[in-house]
Amino acid sequence: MKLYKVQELKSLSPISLRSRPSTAAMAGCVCRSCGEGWVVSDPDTGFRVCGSCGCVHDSDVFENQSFASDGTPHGSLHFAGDFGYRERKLYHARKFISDLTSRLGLSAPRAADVARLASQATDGDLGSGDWFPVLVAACAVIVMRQHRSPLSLAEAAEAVSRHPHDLGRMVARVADQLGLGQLPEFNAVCLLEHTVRNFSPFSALEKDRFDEILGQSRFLLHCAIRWFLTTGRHPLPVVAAVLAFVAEVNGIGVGVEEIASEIRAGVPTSRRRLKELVDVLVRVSKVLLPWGEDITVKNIVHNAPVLIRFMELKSKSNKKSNDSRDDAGDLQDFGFNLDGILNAYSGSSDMVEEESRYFKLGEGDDGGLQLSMKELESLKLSAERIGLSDAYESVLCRLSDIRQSGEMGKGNRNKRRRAALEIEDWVESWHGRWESEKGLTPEEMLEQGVGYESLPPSFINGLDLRRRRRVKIDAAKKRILQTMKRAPVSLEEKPSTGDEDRHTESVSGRKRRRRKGLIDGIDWEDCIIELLLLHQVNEEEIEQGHYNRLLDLHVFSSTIVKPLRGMHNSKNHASEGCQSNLT
Amino acid sequence: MADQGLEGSQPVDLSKHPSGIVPILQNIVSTVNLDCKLDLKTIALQARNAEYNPKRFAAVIMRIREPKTTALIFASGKMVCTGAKSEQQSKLAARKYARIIQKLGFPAKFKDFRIQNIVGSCDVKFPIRLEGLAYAHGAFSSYEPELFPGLIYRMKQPKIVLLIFVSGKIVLTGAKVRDETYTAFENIYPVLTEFRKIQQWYALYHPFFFWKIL
Repeated sequence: MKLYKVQELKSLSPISLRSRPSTAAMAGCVCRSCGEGWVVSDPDTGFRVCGSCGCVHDSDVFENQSFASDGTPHGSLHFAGDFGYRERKLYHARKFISDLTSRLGLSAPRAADVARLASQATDGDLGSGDWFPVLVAACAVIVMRQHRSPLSLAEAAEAVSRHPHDLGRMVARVADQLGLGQLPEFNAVCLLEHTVRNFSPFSALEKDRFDEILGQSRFLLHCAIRWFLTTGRHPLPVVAAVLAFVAEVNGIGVGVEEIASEIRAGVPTSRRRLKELVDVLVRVSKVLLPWGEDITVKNIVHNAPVLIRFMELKSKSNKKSNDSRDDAGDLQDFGFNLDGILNAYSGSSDMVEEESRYFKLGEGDDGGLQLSMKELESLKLSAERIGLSDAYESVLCRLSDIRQSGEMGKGNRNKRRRAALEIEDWVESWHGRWESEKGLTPEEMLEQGVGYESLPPSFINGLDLRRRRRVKIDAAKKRILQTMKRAPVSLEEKPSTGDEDRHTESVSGRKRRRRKGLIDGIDWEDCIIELLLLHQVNEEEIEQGHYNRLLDLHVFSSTIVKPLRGMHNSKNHASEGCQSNLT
Repeated sequence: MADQGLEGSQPVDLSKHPSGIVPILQNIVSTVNLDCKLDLKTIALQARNAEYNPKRFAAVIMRIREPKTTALIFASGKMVCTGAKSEQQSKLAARKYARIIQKLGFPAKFKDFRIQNIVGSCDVKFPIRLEGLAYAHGAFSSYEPELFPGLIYRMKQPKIVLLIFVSGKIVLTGAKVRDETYTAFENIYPVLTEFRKIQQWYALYHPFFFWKIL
């Protein structure tokens, strides 16, 4: 092996090579070492060397050519070949890919996939512009999605200091260019598991407790998906809300803000999702738990372990029943078997005797506790009607004590409450877990009922708004009739139901909040509705609430666009509509 | 009263709208060529309800109150009219803008009036399981809840983009004529019913909720 001087080799760094003249240009040039003009081509190696001092001017092979003080070679120059623009670009691009994938915590095979995808997307050229980090992050998101691994757009975008929407656009472009089709949806369950395993307040727990929390949170997230809490919503705040709720249930002192920060979810949105989750769980409790009528957002935390475990049982039983019959059949013959959970609870050696009697609601002919739907309805009534045992009353007393002691949200208080209710023993008595460990597909997840179905909050809000507008329309019609000296009794009075009363309270509540805008109990919306009714606008359209459009079309449109055939009839029709509206 | 004001008052033609739901037109975008070069500064100085900030946007933004619309008037003589609620309104508004330009001393004509986009909306009144729809119609759908809450459905025939939300609200855009909007909705409605949420469960547990789902 031919050895060269250390000084020469150090001078052959990639930076110095950038300004190196070409081989042809060097022919006959002056040696930079000795100043002699005798640079020749070595016939053996093809190197250009100085014939005077031996300095190598042009070489394509660099090996262990630097030496320590004792003369042994150390260090190495790995690169063999020419350092052109393309090579430097590829080198820096690969280095960036490696750096970014390691920052995102991708494994070596995933990082290789990212590099391959980025290379495919750029036809092997990779890149060096401002767009390249976004491309690499997009490739990382695609690879993780394809492997159903948790990497959110927010996290990847933060890693390259870009907005998630920029990254999302790049993901769509890459997927489109490479023909990857529709990417799998972001796997919120994986993110939840990842967070539980890596976030110190959870990961530091002992194994049993850790498993319990993981199981509960996993199941609750599946429930949230089923209850439309995730549909059309950013998944990260829902994950934060589920983890925050489970943490509170298990007395772990970590708030929703900390969890949201950890997984890069919006804190206000996470708080809102937590509230929605709690609201739904309260509704679920009212349906599923015999003492559900007494459960509120303040004491749901103490009932949550039982509720979650009960829903897990319900889910398992539903799956069995789904194998043999469809949903309609399930609806008609709705009922559930409390045997499993009650036997489990009664089998607990730590269970208080009086509390075990709480579940003795009545036995069926077969000795089991087969509850029909009607019986279930009656279960959520008062203690007097269902004749609960003394235990129920004692639970009620304890709940009232808890209510007086303060509000939900403090870890140490939660511990006291949990200790008071002693429900943890019940929960621990059954060691089974829901089948989410098997990694259900979204379809399987949605097929498994948990004993309660919910509607999307946006849908419920839409219905409430329509209902509120309907109340306002009726009130406006009544006012118009009174003004026209018509008998108000001609207006059909709808029978009032409890829910309508509740809704009216809600409407009046809204009015209370907008008291400043009220004149004689009428706000701007009432005025618009009156105006639209007087212009013969269809009530169905008013209910939809597109007031600006209706005003443009019916009120502020004095100009006739063009003579219409049957316009006279249309006017008649409109006036008839007015009559029908007002009578 | 103009015909556009009566569309909601008339009974739904079930032969044309088998779903019984008629999408409501929310916005019409049209273009017209005034066929003359315009001095935008002159227009901005002389016309009412006109704003012009060449640093921000290279067109005069003009508004009229009836029909309540906004026009973008470019120096090339091209004009974009937005905000109308019907095709007739859009054409009437474009004529009004052209007349305003004429009155300002430009030899404006009214050439190549075209409806470029019609945006409609409707409510199917049931919740939709977007995940299932995205899974089953992956070739046409784009559902990224991290970026946008709705499912973007790109229908091939007619070439319409639908934004489908979990609440059952639908937005249809990209049509050149309103019949395309109607056809697109009638095409998608049976698909949506496949992914509607079974509401009986909720009603079963909440009998007082029946009025909400009717």
